Amino acid sequence: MTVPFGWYLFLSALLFVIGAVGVLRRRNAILLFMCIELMLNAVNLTFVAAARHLGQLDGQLFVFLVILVAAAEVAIGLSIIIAIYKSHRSVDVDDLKLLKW
Amino acid sequence: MAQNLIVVLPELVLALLSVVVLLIDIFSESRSRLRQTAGLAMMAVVLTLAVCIALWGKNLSGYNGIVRLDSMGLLLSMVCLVSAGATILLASDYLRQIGSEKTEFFLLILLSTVGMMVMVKAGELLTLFIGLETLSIPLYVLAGFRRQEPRSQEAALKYFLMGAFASGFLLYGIALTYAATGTTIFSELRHSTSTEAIAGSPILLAGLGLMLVGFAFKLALVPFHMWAPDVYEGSPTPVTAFMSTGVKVAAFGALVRLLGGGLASLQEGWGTALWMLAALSILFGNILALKQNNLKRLLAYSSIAHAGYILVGVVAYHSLPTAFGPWAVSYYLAAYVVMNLGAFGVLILVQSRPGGAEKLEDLRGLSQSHPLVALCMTFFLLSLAGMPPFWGFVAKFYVFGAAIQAGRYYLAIIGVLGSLISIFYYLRIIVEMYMSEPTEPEPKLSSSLAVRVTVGAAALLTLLGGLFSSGLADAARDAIRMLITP
Repeated sequence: MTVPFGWYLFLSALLFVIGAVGVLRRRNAILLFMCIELMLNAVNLTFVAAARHLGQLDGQLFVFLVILVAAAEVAIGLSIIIAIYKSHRSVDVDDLKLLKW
Repeated sequence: MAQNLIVVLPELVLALLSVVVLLIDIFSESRSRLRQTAGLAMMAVVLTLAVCIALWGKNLSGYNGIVRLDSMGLLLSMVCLVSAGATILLASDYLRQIGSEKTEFFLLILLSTVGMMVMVKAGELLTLFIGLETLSIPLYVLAGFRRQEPRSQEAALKYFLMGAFASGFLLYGIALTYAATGTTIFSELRHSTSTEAIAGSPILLAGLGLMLVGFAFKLALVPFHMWAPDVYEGSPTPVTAFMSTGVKVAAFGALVRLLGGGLASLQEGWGTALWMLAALSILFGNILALKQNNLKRLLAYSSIAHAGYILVGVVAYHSLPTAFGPWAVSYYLAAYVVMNLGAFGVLILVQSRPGGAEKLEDLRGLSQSHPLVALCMTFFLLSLAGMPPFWGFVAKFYVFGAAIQAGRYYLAIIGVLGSLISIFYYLRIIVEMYMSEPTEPEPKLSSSLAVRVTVGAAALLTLLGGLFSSGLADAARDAIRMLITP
């Protein structure tokens, strides 16, 4: 018995919403960042499920591109967070208030 | 095969040249490395510009329609290159002033420009996304380029988190669109969304909505604009100039292609959403700019309002063959890039004096100490405000004309109202420059030739663009007329 396509979409939508709400609610930069990764993985799930549903390979291919971009973002993002930590000794975004948020 | 390579030739040339610049820079033992690398980067930009000019008039599509080489793509690529070139010229002096000898700056600008050029030529959703990321990731680094400066760090983190968040939305929208239609290529999307069953699918509509949110974040449209003033204020000034011009060109180019080329049959849906975003951006951008005292923040809010005006042109973009919208958008983008870069150039000049800052008071009495600089700034501000005979006036005229042609009368009225509000805060700067006494006797500004030439050229273009507008407009119209037949 196969799982219907709609369930995959529902699950990925749920993951995406958890990620998005996390970005808006959390204050720790690392956690914010992990929530963004969760959103991207919800996207990957959608791509894979859609590819299977449509009987194409394209969707699975797109996942590689997304993973690649996410990896590049991690490299830049973590280095920015480290630079912040070195000078502020904290990665809480509420501590960053030189500029009006 | 050969055609595929021709289609991506400008991007290929720029990407390869930027690697060459990097290698020369690494092995260089020259004492004036900063100047040398800036010169090399400038040469790369000029060469790529020449390639774009050589390809002018071609209408090709490559890699099964994933990338398109047409007049709009080339025109906007050239505008991006101009923005990159001006940023390099403005930055070489600025970097020396802040005591940074890091030559990576220029390389990052070049790589970001490659992403912009991919984005304005994209004929497919994932290509668009890759272009967007290629453009964004170097910009995250550039925003935090003054590593020891807490404001710059903060700007980098905010820009990064907001950018990644926006990418998430855009990407989820792409995934849902793919799930609903089974394709990501614009020409096929256009075909498949013309059937009733797919065009009405809730999954596709959700995808469209999420993509629009992603774009609205990237373009800093109200109500997704909160990050922009902070990031613009905290970033190094040349980077702010680049962000507020190049990124907008790339994102608007892609938006026009996606909505006009791929999702034209959903016009009713995105038309209404963009209508509201445009009206809100024009009104709130201008009203919030009124009480700004920091010039970078003021220009940030002004750029939010300008994104609103450009969006008016996108909304007006309905039935393709006769539509006025797409070239009005391209035309406005070109004018906006020139006048905005000019204004930031003057800001860099003002910041260059000892203890120079970016407050409104720092311009006090500029007309007495530096009459030419003050005159150039006046040109840019009047042009941004949309006063005749400057280029900004003509551009606004066409965008609002497009809105009226499309029957969006209210939007044109809101646009004109917004411009009226904007005159107030632009004039405030001019009054400060001309009507008040300088605070210190003789503020000495940087004598860098590169910065002065850039500002002067931008001022000349702002004036000439307005005076010879009909010729330019005809050229732009001819160019865009044969556009987008996916």
